Amino acid sequence: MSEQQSYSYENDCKSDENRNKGASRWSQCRKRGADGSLRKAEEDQRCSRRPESFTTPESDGPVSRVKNWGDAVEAEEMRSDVRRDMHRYRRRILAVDVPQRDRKLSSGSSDSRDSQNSKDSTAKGDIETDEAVLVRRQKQINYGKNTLAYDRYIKEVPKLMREQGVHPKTPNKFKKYSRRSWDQQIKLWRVKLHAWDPPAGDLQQIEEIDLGEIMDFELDVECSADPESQCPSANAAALSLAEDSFRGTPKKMMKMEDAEMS
Amino acid sequence: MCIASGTCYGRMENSSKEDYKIQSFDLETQKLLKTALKDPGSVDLEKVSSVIVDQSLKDQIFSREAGRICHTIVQLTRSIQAEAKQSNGNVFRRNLLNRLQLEFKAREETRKRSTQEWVCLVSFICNIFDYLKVNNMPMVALVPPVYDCLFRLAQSDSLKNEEEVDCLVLQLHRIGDQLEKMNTPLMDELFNLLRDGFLLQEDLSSMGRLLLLEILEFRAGGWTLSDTAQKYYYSEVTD
Repeated sequence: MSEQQSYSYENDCKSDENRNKGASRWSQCRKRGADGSLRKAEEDQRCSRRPESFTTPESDGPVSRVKNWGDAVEAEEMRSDVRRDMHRYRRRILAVDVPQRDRKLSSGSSDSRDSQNSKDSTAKGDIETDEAVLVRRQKQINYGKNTLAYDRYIKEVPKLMREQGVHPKTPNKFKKYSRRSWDQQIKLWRVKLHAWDPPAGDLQQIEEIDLGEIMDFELDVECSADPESQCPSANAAALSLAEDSFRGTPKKMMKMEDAEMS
Repeated sequence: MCIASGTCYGRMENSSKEDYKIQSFDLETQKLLKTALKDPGSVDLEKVSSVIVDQSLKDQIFSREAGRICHTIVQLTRSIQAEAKQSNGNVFRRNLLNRLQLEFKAREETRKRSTQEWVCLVSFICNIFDYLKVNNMPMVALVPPVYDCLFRLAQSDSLKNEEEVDCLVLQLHRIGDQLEKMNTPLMDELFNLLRDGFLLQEDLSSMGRLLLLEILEFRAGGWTLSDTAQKYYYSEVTD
């Protein structure tokens, strides 16, 4: 970057100062220097400007010199897609809001999968708006939609023909759910989708394993044998699922959720 | 005095909508590109992005127009089936951008080695910025690099070089207004440099000076030229 550019990254202030009292970028928020003496207020002020490369979870993310352009643009696109979806969703909700207003809200029910309840809560304007949460949820949804099973499913069952409880339904990322609840919904949705996996022995199944894919939770293969869910190829599906349970290698890479899962 | 009649600013509208200016590629590569445009799932998209970048650095005409073919391929790769998708996200775009980033990092060496390659690189980056949009918005990630290139072209050692001035004003005509919206203070600063160069730099060619004056007026007029200015600068261009 040439010198003339005023947007060049700001240097750490006072880099030549005595390190003990020095205003390094790490001591910006500390009340005392390394020798125990209280830092003066002025020092704090001088050092309150952070270099532009400094990022926090709330900021836009790393500047382009840290990320590669491919990743940066994909992240941009994710955020912009999610924002666009949110506007569309809001409009859609407002459109159906009017007839709902005089219905009594059922109190105390925390089952957010009750569609009536959910409609009421979203009618109140109570939707998830945190971009970081929406992006994370969208990524999880994309993993599910980027599968052969999902492709086959949507070809086979048009939206209008879908029966509640029978056919998998993509979780609604705009509804307010706890992290645990959301992850569970995703898990069950993905498991239900497996019913549309291509027949066992199909070589394409192997290609489906994307080593870059990271799931934020552990897939419980046992609960895939859901007796309530019916699907056109029920027998074949149950068979292939049972086989999965005994395969040595998991079909997808999994990663245990961290401390967030309480 | 007037700007050469061959100069054509703005996007080239061709009679054939499909003219991606790939004639300069060898026949085998042309075939690859045509296949990519018909059936992107069937080709190695990493190779496609690679040949496009390589050619853009060599071929001045292509470097100014490559954005269109890239845009088309990106759009097409969105709609292909999950089974043909090579992984999550847009493989072609990602490879293209990362390769472009490598070239950008090496820009100073490229400039030392060959002015032509350097101006091709700048044209290509700006053309990509123009055509590859994210939900109809310019790619934010490209704004600093694009400005970087333009600031470099506004340095005195570049301004004395007509080829580089020509490149600079071409990009500003095409994407100046978009860039300004993305970051107005930077554009102001860039134009300060251009004004200084125009006024103070003695080793500018007269054509270079003319080009700078025109772009100064262009921006001052809200990224458009008044009729009288148009007549002044382009009077000898055949309609």
